[in-house]
Formats: sequence, structure tokens, C-alpha cells
Amino acid sequence: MPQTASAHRTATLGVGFIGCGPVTQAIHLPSLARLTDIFTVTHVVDIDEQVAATVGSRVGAHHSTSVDALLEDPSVDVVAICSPNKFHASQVVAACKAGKRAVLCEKPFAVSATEAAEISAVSMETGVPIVVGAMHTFDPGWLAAEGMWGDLPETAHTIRSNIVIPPNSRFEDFATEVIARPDSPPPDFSDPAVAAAAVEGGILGLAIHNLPLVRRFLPGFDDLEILAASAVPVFGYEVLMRVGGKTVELTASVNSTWKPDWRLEVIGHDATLTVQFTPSYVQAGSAVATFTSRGHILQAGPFSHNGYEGEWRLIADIVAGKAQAPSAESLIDDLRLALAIAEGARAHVLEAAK
Amino acid sequence: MTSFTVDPRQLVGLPEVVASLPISLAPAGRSTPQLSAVAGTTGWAGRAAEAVFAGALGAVVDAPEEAPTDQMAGDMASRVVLAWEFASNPGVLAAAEAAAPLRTHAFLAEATLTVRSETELKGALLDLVTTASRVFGEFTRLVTLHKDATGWHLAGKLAGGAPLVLTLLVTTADPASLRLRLLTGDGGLVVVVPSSNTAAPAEVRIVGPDGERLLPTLWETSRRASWRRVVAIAAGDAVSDDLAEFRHTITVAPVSSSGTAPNQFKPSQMKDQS
Repeated sequence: MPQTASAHRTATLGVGFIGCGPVTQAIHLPSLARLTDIFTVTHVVDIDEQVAATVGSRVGAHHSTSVDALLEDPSVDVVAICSPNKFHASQVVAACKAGKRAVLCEKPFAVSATEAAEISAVSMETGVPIVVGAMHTFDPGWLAAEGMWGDLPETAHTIRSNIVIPPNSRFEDFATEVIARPDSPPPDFSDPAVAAAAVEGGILGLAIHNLPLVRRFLPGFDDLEILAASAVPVFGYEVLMRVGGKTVELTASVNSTWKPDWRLEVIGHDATLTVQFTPSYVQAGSAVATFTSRGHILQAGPFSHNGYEGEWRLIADIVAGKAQAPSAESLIDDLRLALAIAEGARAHVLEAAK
Repeated sequence: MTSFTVDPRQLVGLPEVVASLPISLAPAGRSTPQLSAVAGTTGWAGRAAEAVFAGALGAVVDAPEEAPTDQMAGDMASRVVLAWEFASNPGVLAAAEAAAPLRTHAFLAEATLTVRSETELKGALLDLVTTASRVFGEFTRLVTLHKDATGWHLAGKLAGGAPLVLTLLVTTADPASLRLRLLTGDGGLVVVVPSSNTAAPAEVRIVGPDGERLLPTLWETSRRASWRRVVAIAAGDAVSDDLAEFRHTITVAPVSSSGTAPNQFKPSQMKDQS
């Protein structure tokens, strides 16, 4: 017998979105459309009422322009925060205090260590689990790599993150039809302040996807030293650093290429790991992890879903008591590393221009 | 076709080359070889000059480790071929031609060479810089950002101002290999050069708005390609400018002409290069 709408609703977790931009439209809603047996989108909020109404109507959700209204909505069990970065921390805190069952916050979940500490305290106080949308950490290809890499986290001497992608719009349009997309002109790197800001923004907007993975191979990062940093057109960076006694290289360029190349490489004395990720937005399955040691190769993936779907599956398991939420300490360390690199790289670009 | 004599005992691996070019090369036996093989260890330039002065029609220097001296010039120098494990791969020459129209609007250039032992780093550096120079064209003098037993990290800028990153890494996970990438606004070029232990071909891929193109692969070891060059030189069909190229390479490599250790990087050095 087919379920009624209300019966279906009681069997699923209600999701409320704060922010209805491209990430919500082209990433999360298509991901949740594959998980209708677990989640139902019940409420969406956007500062632009027309955008909220249009997005809400797509998924049959209530819409509003009020975060408070969403937090007071009892149909919302899980709050997904997809607003501009500067609002993340206060909205995470508000969602925890509203007694929701879980919070998914897009990265970065805070823009300062002070904000991160506040979030940690509120999460401890309320017991509301927080998941940061660092999607690659939930990618089945990456999770499979963890099972293959042996002592590579200890023996790795070089870690390289490479991201070459077309503008997000190319893959957003493959994923869904997006309304009200923001636009920005290419930066002028001849101005050192612009170049420095672009590198800093690139670390916090792009490298941050891979930095939690990089951190898995670092014993610590208090000794972080930026050796080189420069802006790469159209929007990107090249950063070399020593951290935790290892060498880390971060490279990115968002340009007009049609061919994405999103890779994490880890090189050790007798083993290497390469994880090739699929582009964001498209539901193209998982990363492929290749572990090589002494001429033998182990490969994992591709699996059928990507990290975005993986993070929603994890939230369901956390709410059901089948999985633990990432520790606040770990999330804060991920953020601290990203902030330290961003600030160090920005300062390095400015110093080199003197 | 003319055959030239060589003493296969002069270098490890040379008998295989002679066997693979049986029409062009023949063992010299007890006579003086027409083509000379010179190990690239300390003093190679003197030994190569001696061979050419003594009448050799050509000389192949295997992996030179130090700068050439001025003992040879003009016609003498044009008979000397420098044989690199990676830079002499036929695929690198194909990549250089394909990269030429991309260089002026490159966003980023990178080359990474993995070796299996720390002891190989110094020799590999000159091979890497020579390869990068052939594919990426002119660039500023390289500075060393970091070096230790696990790898060296160097940086410079292409003539057009794009960042250049050269990396040497030590791992026994894979055979030695080289990967180059020249990134442009709408694609670029990627070159993967395998170890010269086999004739596995380099792969040169060019990405542009109309798709991706794989250049025809050439199944020839870099060593055999170098010996084919010296045969052509001996026959009067070609000349070598390898010594002049190497003198230029030394000026941009982060080593002195005597092969001393690279300098350490200071952020202000990057501005000096721009």
C-alpha cells in the first residue's frame, strides 16, 4: 500500500535550509532527492523571498525569509546552513540552542577561532551534533583509502592538493537549473592586495575542501611556515609550506577549462596515495583512491555516491545513534589549520610584493 | 647506410643500445671507436674533449653531473650529445613543440620528478631543469624553497610571468617518473615520462576548448634516442647544441658551476625575479 504524505513524513527527518543559493539548489537538494526514504525538506529560508518561494515549491517545502521562523518550525529536525560564511557561526549556535537534532553547516563553519570555540561550547552544552560540509571527508573513495594506507600518515613526507576546475556554473548547470546565481569579475592580480586577498579567499573557499584530508597526514601544525605563495589566474593559488615536519603544496586554478582535475597526492618513502575526486555539484559517484607500494597497486572506487550524499547519510546515522558526530575539537583544528594557512599565505604575498 | 663503431664496454647499458641499432652501430673490437661514450661523472668535459680531439666523430655523455668547461667550441662542441634519462626522451621533444604556442599565456608551470633514492637527487636536478627548459622555454633563475632527504622544492617564473614549480621527490613506491604540466586558461599540456629502464612511451596530452589530444607515442628509450642523434651527427646530417643549452641550464639551476648545494629561499627573492 502506498504511504500517505504524512505517514512518509513521520518516517523521515525534516530538513530546513538556511540559504537557497547554488549550493543548496545544485548540491544538497539533488543529493536529498536520492535519499527520500531518509529525509524530507520541510522548510527553506532565503533573504530573497522569490528565490525561497521558487526553491521551496520545487521540493514541496514551506518557505520564508526568517531564520527564526525556520528554527521554530517543529517539522525541521536537521538544519542545513548554506548562507554566506560570515553568518555561519551565529546560525549554528542558534540552531543548537533551538534544540534541533543535528546541524549541517557548509564550510567554513566559522571565520575565527573565537567563533569556533563558541560553537564548541554550545554544541557541548546542548548536545546537538554538528557536521561541517567538508564533503570529501565523507566520500566513500576517501573512506576506503583510510583502510588501505597503513602507516602512510606517519611516513608521508609530502602532501599535494591540486584543484583545477571550470567555474562552478558549468557543473551547477549539469546538476540542476539554478536561479539567482551570484557573479563576480576576474581579480586584477597586479594589485598585491587583490592577489593576497585572492589567495586567502582561495584557501578558505577552495583548499578548505581538502585541508581536513591533508591534516590526517600531519602530526600537528603549530610549526606552520609558508615558503611560497602566489595567486594563479583566473581564481587560484600556489602555496608551498612546511608543516608538521612535512612539505605541503596547495595548487588551484578556476579557469575556463572543461576538464576538471581534483586530486590529493600523498608521497611517502615506500608508498604513495592518490585520490582523484569527482567535480562538485554533479552526482558523479565517489572519488577513486589509488594506493601504491613497492610496485603493487590497490584501488578503491568509484562507488555509487559522493561525499555530499555521504554527509547526509552520516547525519541520518548520527541522529539514529548509529554513528558518532565528528568531535568539535577535530572541526576546530580543521578550521584553525585553514585560517593559519590563509593568513600566512596572504601575508607572504604582501611581503613578496614589497 | 654508414655504420659507426663504438666500444660497448665504455658504459653500462651500451651493449643493449648497440644491439638495438645493429645497422648504425657496430662494436669497435680492437680498433679505436669512431663514437665515444663518456660517463657524466666529474671530469666528463675533459674526457669528451679528449675523445673528440683524438678524432671521434661524436661523443655521448651519459647524465652529466657538472657544468661543461670551455675546452670545446664550434665544430668540436657540435659533435657532443648529452644523454639525459628524461630530457632526452623523444616524448619530451614532442612536448616542447606542442608547448611552444601555450607558453605566452600559461597560468602555471610545474614539473615533478620522482627518484628512488636520496643519492639520485643531485643528478636528477639537472635532468629536471633541462627538461623543464625544453618544454616550458625561458624562465628565471630558480630558488630553492626547501630541500631535505625526501625531496627538493624549487620555484621560478616563466618568461611570461607565470609561476614555475619544480619538485624532486624520493619514493620507492613507483619506478622513477617525470610529470610536467603547463596550465592555461582553457586547458594546457600534461606530459608523463616513465623511467628510461624500458621503452614505455611518454604520454603528451594537450587540452583545449575542442577536447583532448594524445600525441603519437614513441616507444624508444631516451638512451637509444641519444645514440641515434650522435649517429646522425657523425654522418654529417645533424649538429648538436647540447653544450650551449647545458651552459644556459646551469645559469638558471640553483647550483653553482661546481655543483654546490642550492641556496635557501627568502621571500624577497621572489620579487627580484619578476
